[in-house]
Amino acid sequence: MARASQERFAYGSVLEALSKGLYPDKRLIIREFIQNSYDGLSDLRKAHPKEPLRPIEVKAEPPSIFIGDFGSGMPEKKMREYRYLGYSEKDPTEHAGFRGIGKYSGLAVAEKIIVDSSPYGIPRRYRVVIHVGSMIDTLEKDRNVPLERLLRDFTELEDAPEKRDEHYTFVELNNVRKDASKLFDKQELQQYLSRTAPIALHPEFTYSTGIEKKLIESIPEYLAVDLTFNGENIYKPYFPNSREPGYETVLYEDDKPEVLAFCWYCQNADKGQFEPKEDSGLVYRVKNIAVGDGQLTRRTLWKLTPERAFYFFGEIHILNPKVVPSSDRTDFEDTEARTLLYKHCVRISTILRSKAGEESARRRFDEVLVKGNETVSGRARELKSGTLPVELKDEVLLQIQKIQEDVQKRLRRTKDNAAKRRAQRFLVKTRKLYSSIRKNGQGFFDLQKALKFDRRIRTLYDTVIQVLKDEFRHDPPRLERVIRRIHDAIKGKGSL
Amino acid sequence: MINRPQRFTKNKETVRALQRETIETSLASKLGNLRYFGLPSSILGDIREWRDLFAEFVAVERGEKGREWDLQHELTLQAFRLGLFTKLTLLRGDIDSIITKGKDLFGNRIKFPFDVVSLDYSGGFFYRDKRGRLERLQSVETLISKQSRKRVDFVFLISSNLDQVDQGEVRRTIDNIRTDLTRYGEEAEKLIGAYLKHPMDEARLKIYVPYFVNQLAAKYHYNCETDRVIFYKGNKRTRMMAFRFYLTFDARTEALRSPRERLSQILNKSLIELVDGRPNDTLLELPKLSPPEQKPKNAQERAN
Repeated sequence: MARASQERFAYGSVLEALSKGLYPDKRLIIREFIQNSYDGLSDLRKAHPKEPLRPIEVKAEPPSIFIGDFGSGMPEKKMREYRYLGYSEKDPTEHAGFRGIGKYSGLAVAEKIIVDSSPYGIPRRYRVVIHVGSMIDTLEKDRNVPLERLLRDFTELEDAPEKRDEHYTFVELNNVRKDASKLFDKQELQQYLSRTAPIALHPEFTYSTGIEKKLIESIPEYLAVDLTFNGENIYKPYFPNSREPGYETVLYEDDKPEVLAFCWYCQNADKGQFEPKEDSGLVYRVKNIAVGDGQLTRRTLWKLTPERAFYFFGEIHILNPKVVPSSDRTDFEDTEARTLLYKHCVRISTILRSKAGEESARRRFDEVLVKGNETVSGRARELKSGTLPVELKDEVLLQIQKIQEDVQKRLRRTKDNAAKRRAQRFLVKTRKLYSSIRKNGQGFFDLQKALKFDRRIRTLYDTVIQVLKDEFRHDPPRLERVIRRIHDAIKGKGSL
Repeated sequence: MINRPQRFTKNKETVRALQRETIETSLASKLGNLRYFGLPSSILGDIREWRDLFAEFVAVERGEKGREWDLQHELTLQAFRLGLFTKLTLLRGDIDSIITKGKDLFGNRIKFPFDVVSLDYSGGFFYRDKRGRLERLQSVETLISKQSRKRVDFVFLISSNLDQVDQGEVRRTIDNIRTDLTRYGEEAEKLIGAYLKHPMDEARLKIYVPYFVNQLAAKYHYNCETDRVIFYKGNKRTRMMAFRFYLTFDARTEALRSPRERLSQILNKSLIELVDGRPNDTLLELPKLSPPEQKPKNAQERAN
């Protein structure tokens, strides 16, 4: 038995595997710490709802990256546990982070992880230092150092007095390694935070207040925190050319009130997809922190017409606590709950696809009306000026008839009242022109009359025109061009 | 225990209040929008006291050898607690080297100019580097020269202890001052003698540092106004001195001008001695120099 108690079952390389393996994209590490800050603020709000929530502050200043919050802070016990790997008493239903691994994510980038925390209402502060560099040096010498020893020897916990009214957690990823220097690309990190952090929509976005209000009403304990990066406020991205937002609630079952997810979306007011793609599409969020990006919803929900996924931007907030994000938050853990989520959320894409279809039809109807109007008005002008060759009379009638039929067909399908009114006005105008051409045919230019063709030439000319009409019957624009060229050529000879 | 920074004495608090007066008087039109460069210590002593005057702080912290990260981290934590984190830029390394090279150990550059430069040295003013050079004095010159390129007026604050006063350097400089005072004749001889013989280094530094700064200022087109020099006992009864200057840029001529502040003004200014935070005027029993207009102009007048 004594021999068995000396056995060690976990060794140092686990640390390397956990840190490097779990976080191939080093920016995910920053998100881990923001997630912890968010939990601290969320706890503070629950325990002391009257306390104002101050922003999470993120700063990248070589050689370090700092993440600080004025949340509930961590008492001594939690700070002691902070050094433990894979230990967490956080409740997955209440907190964004809960595995107890994320805090060690900094291993992949920094020489030291220094964490200060002062818990709410306790006049002390605690500091945990994880000497990552020394751990790695030790591992390079001996790959099989017991994990327990590494964590004990290269972590420290200290304390000092603090003012009673102070409460915060402040993390420094000290001396970020060269292979992680990408983290100092300020623009890139700012964009990343804007897309993933649990923050509010940009206040300049016309619909931001309405959407935030709806999220607060629809999602229990919804929290959008303020966040600054190098002193600048960071907000979720938005597209100014958006239509009014729409909302969808996804239930577990249609006849039961339990909500599985809540979605808001805005459709592109312009044609087609939103650009850039990185900000478009719907993004899953758990505790208001992004899981994957627009590509994840496109892949999981838009089985048909996937290109239409990017006609929208918005969010799907997951309310089912059993749907758990993977450690790198690029997807969810493969569970039954996830299968159910994807299955039920397909309804969102069905609705949006139909909206995109309607929008497409409306846009096409608009185009048809505009083009039809141009054509009909153009013909009316030509008739008025007497420049339309009489040889084209049948073609013009056919052209107007076709436009009328197209507009009538779209008019029957549209639900857009404004478009309906415009279409009806257009049809009145078109009918008038059609019947006037048909009845008296006045206004056309008759080349034969103008040149006083004799019977023989008239027969010849009619034959040529008839042959041309037969030849180009499937290509009316070409026929028109040819007839106009004949007119121009004869006029050019000076006969007129 | 967390490496807790020292508590500041009442004397240090008064020094900060007097330095604040200098800033407020000299830079009245820019208050609230000033840029700071200096050594605030990890507890952010002066920044904490003056934060309402500044829009930006560039702080230098070297840290303790082998545990540099500790005090540097403490400084950023204090800035965060005080809500100054976004206004703060931390430069890591030795201040003299940072001024000379224009960047810190991690390549972060200093962006000149500053409105207030506060060099609150933890050691003395006469620190010598490995090659025996008075590196600190050279970095002060570099600093003034870099400020002058931006043609800005600034308040320059220096505090240091008297642990390693370079007696040779100080005495040689005071000898030079004697030459500058030849027109005062015997009176100057007596006066310089009194400074050299005085038992306290404070007396000699009272003229050495302002003289040094005045000479450098003139070299880079600055006029220098010296506020009264402060001396006091700091932590662990360390003897400390604090100097306050206001440098105004003047480039009306390409040719350099002699320092506008007269030596007699510097010499005749009393010092402020702080005891338990209370200021007392003193001349340390040093003689004054008569103003030039009271001096006899020639032998005849002297005879009369």
